[in-house]
Amino acid sequence: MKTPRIAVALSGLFLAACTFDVGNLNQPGLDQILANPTPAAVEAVATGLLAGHRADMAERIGYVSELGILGRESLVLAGSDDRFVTEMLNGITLDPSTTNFGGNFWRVPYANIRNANLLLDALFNTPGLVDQDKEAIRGFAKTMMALDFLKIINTHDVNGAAIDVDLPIGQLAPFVSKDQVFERIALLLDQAQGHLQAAGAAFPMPLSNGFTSFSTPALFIQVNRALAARVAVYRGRFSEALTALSASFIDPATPGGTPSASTSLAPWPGTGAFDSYGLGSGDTQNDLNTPDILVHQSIIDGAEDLATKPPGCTGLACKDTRVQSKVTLVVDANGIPAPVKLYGETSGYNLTLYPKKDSPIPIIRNEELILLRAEANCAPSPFPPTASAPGTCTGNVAAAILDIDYIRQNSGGVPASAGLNSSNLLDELLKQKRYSLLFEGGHRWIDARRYGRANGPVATLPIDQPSIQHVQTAFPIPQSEVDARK
Amino acid sequence: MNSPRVVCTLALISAGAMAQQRTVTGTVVDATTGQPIPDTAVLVVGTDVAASSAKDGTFTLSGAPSGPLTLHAIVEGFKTLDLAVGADQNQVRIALEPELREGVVPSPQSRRAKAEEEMVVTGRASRTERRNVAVSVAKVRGEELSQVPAETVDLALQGKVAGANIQRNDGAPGGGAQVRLRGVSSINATAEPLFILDGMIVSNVAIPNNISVVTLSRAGSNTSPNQDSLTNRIADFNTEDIESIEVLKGAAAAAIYGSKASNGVVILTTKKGQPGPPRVEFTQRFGESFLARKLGARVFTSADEAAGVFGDVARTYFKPGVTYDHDGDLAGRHDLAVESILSVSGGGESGLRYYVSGSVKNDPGIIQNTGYQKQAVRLNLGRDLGDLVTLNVNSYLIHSVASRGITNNDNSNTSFYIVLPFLPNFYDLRPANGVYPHDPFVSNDNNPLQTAALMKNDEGVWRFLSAMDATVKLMRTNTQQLNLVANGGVDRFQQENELLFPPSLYWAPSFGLPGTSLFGTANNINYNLGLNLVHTWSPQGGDYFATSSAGVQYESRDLNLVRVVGRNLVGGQPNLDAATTVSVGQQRERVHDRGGYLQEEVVLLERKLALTAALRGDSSSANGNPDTFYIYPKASASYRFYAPAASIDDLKVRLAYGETGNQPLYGQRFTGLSVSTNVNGNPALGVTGIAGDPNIKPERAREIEAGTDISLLEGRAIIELNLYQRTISDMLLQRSIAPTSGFTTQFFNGGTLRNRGIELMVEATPVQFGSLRWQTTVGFAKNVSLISSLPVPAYNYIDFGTVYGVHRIEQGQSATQIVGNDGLKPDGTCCLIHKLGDSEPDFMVHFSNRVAFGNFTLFFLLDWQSGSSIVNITRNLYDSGQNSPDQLKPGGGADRLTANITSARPYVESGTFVKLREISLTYDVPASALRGLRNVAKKVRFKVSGRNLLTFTPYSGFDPEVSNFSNDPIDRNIDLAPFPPSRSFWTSIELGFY
Repeated sequence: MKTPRIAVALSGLFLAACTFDVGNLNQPGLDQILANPTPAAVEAVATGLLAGHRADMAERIGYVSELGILGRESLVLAGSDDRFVTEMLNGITLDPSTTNFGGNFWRVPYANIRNANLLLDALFNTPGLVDQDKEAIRGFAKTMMALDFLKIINTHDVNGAAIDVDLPIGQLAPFVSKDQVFERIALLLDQAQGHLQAAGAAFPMPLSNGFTSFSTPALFIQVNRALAARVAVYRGRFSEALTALSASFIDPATPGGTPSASTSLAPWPGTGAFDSYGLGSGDTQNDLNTPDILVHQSIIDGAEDLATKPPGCTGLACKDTRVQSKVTLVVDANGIPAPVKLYGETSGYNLTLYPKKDSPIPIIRNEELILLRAEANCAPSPFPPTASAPGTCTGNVAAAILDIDYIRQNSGGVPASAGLNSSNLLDELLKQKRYSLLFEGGHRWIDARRYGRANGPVATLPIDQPSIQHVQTAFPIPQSEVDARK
Repeated sequence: MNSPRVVCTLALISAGAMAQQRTVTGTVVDATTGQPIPDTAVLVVGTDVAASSAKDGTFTLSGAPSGPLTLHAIVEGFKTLDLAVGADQNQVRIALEPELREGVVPSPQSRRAKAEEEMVVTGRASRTERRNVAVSVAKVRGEELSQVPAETVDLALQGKVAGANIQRNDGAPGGGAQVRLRGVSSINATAEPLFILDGMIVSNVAIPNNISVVTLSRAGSNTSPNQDSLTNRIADFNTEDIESIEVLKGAAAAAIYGSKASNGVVILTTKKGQPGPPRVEFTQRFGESFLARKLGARVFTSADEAAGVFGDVARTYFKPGVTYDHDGDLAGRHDLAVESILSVSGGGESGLRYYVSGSVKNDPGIIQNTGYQKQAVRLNLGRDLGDLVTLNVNSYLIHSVASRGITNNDNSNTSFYIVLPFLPNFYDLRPANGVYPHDPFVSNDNNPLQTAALMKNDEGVWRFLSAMDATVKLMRTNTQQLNLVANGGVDRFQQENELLFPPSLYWAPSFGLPGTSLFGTANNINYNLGLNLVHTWSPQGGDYFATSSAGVQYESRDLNLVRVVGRNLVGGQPNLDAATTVSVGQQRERVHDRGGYLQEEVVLLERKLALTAALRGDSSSANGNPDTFYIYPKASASYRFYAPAASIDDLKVRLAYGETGNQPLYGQRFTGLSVSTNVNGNPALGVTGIAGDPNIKPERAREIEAGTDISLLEGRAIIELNLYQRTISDMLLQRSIAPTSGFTTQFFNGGTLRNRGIELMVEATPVQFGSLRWQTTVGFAKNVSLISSLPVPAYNYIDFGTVYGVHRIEQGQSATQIVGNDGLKPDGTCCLIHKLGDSEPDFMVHFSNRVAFGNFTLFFLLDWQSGSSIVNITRNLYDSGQNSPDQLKPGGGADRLTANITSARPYVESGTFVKLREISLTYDVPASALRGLRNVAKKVRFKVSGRNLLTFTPYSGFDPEVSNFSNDPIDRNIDLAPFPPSRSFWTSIELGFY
């Protein structure tokens, strides 16, 4: 029969006509970056580490907001999701199965760690970059990687984490303890310092607006050391912390500096390193300004009176300037106070730290460095403290008091401390950290946990629902991670 | 399809040669005009001899027995006729009266004949009579579709095909429905069937309108853009233009469609002109839609009680005994809907056939500023070029605008039913002197009525489709015929989404940059090209005939999506250049497919045995290797027993096996780096969290189907029974991978999903007495899904967590199971996870009835789905707002909320329902009354009808047909602030001028 022959001939002609492949029309490929990295692509991945770090910070389900909730700094009272209260404040345990409530603080930093490792790997065969530029990128990348590991361990604490993750997809890095993670973070920061010291005068890639004061490798080392100081304090290595601080960007005029230096305490650019947001197309916006993000009442209640109260002041107007500048009354359309009540929680105040869609969020800034110095000088012992031994200063108490008072007076406008001694200094220090670093990334929660003050007899975190007996102190390892390891 | 007439004629000519035979020839003509009628089936009653009239109306019945005969002539649009033929009369003229009423119930005998003669699709370019088809092919005729006006074609099919689970996603105007044939066949690729219109693959994509930048539905971890209440674009086609829809439910029937068909194939055929004078049909409809169900809210009895829930602000507004109907205030509109449809069809001596239709529809929604408008024009032309070539061009142009409000999940308190659960019903939202009150109970002041009044969410579509086919008779002998069938077409649409949320909305300032204007444009082009050779062979005097076909196809689709979001609108102007902050996104998809097939269909043994075998090979650029051809075989057999027992006219048993595929989605091959984020204007690259698979290949479905078709009692009852097992292997899975790797998901092929099921259809005419006829159809379908192997640990589908109930993909369980928290673990931590439900129903039943008495016809269709479950998060919203109507009653909202701490059970509800899907009452003005109008109107018909008038369900939410995630394959039955459902009433007048 002729038919099949014609059909076959026609088909053959038709099917073999030409290649029909279609590449990726939307994105450059990962393999492409590794196999054939151009300086422009490598630099974009480097800058991308800043995008990866800020990705889970500035939203309602982000790091600042959710750690604020657990640390009783903030609330999210939203009709669309009750879990900000029912799970985070009132839940028996945190749900490991949703990425909204904790999973993000695992997924997002590990994705960025993959970016950093991709960058470090690609650098080996990027012919277009000089060695000094490669060193600058390495120093920057390892600092960012340390910051991402810090995000992971701050949120997951005793649950541990994986650190040797530069593996092909599908291979699993073993879990290690919290201490080992901190060890790795410190190592990365130290290695990064070395790379940055070997770098040239400038970074080959642009950084964000959050690093305007630290835009060269030499200046960036100051951020690296500031982070090293925080990590050393978290690890109880107080002398290391003091050493690191001296190489950081801590304002040398403090304590006892001129009052004009108090601007270096405010949470705005110039006083530290920031996650930067922007309104441009493709930039990320800061969403920590929706009206459903509210202040936890304990922040209002704990605020001290000003040293010099304005005449005839009432309410907040008489209180700590830090609260006044970071908090605003919720009012209705007629200007009448309209507290929000939902799921048994009430709040009459919104947070104003991030008033705009491009407001930056501090990564680390001068005010924290001064408080870290106070903490390092206090050198609480035992470390970590226990309920029966909640922490006594064993270091330079006088130096610590000097820093605390500097913060009280210059940042809070409240009177200098009175009666501080080695046994009560730690709690005063934590209180100052609470107000100075309010809603900047879970400092109250992390500090309370570090010093055994999240739950138990010396707890400083209030429990506002009588049915709930404890504060969550760590996010669970996400279900997807657990499942993948079964 | 391409040239059914020719194939059909030849197929039929091959009647068996018997002793004492004679040949009867004749012509079929229109009794009123004398024009020849083609495609008429002419049967010799009591025998198996049949023929089909040619274009000139002629037919030849060879092998007719000697002696007197009765001929039975049947064709669409004319009354069937039984004609006595004398023993020595070998020339006949059959004159048929035009059928005045479409609604008339044909006699059982003619129904049987019709069902058997009906040509159904068996190949890319071939059709076969139903009696010789070895698979189940459901066919729904145009008049059954448009019995009661439906918003879209897919909704018109609801409850009409056993084994098709067709559900709306919400009540938003303009459509949005999911069609699942024989259960879910995919987890991560598309689960929608392939839609073919006049031989051309048409796009059914659903493109998000990007409202998520306002609802922030993707701001959570659940980044699915499917929460935008999408419309799948099959909604664009006009039900009234459809001549018939054929549904190939599984691989056994659809293998010839290769790697796109594992979810089944839906073949739409539009109306074509027939030779004769112009037939003009005009339909005018008026309708109204009403909110079908209200959720209500808690009634407070004292200011203290109200203040206890809402704080002291409630005391300002509480008035004892005064409540407002927020559901009704928001969704209580019932504006007049109007639809006009005009069609003209006919054909001339020159061989030109035409069908032209135009329609205009305006269907306002129940919420202010919502609704659906559509204008469409169709032009179908057919022309014979000499004796050898037939050309058809079917073109369609449509413009529609669907205004869909703001609904579904949100994280910004903007969605209507995210706000209302937290609003006490003693607060009046309605405007006073034109000013809407602020809502003091929600942090962003959102008054949903103000939002509805000022916002815009318009989805405008311009779509042009043109499908062409040409049949060339390459060879024609007494026993053989070879046709070349070339077909091709273009399906081009542009979807424009214009959304506006002006700065004057009370909640606009809460966005920091007040006023949001969105513009999205999606350009889609599908090209189809095909070349087929069809050879038929029917040896003279043999009881055998064969159809061989072979062909090649090329198909491509290209989608280019550009979205612009403007914020902070200067002076509230919607123009994007009036925004101080603009962001742009673009997404592109392009896929080229190639394929070819060979098919052989044979009918032998006095046309009792029918055998089919086919092979198809497909390649696609969506696969990891674009040059690999994947082969899909099929084979089927059927055997007919004529009158095997008393009262059984005919019994056919059939067995079929087929394989099909389901392509990877565009981009599943690639692991890319995101380019869409920058840092303060500086380029940034980073991983997306999704790893592709460079070796990705299509899913493979293997289906075995066994069935029987039985005709009883002279056609008074027709029974079809199908059993099937479909196994999908190499599923396209998106496995969760350890996030420590920097990726969260990876595409890969693996696992096996099995669907087993049974379908039973019974058509019967229980009563036939005088002019009273009751005709009934019952369809039953049950599908059981099982993930028989899963190479990854069980994982939860996106959704909202086990606290409410979540779909979980787990080996040994149904693909659509819903699991949730179910009590504390033994160690006191939360929580045990158990299966709490399934979004697939246990079984579905449809029951349609047509009762004709005199000039009245009553039609109604009941649609029953039993045993599905729904995750009702909307109810959780009301409960957690302490605002449910039953909040304080035992087992009410407060109790549900308490139980919810350790259990998702309170929010996993039964979705069983029985709906009065369609009902209509038709009155045909009798011909005698029309005598005065004899030459003007031949048909005058009045009809009142309603859709979804009654719903019986234990479900507490708006509607058990709900999907927050639109057409997601797995993620149905999540109820989260949907667009409320409506019931609609229509009155219409239909006029026919012939």
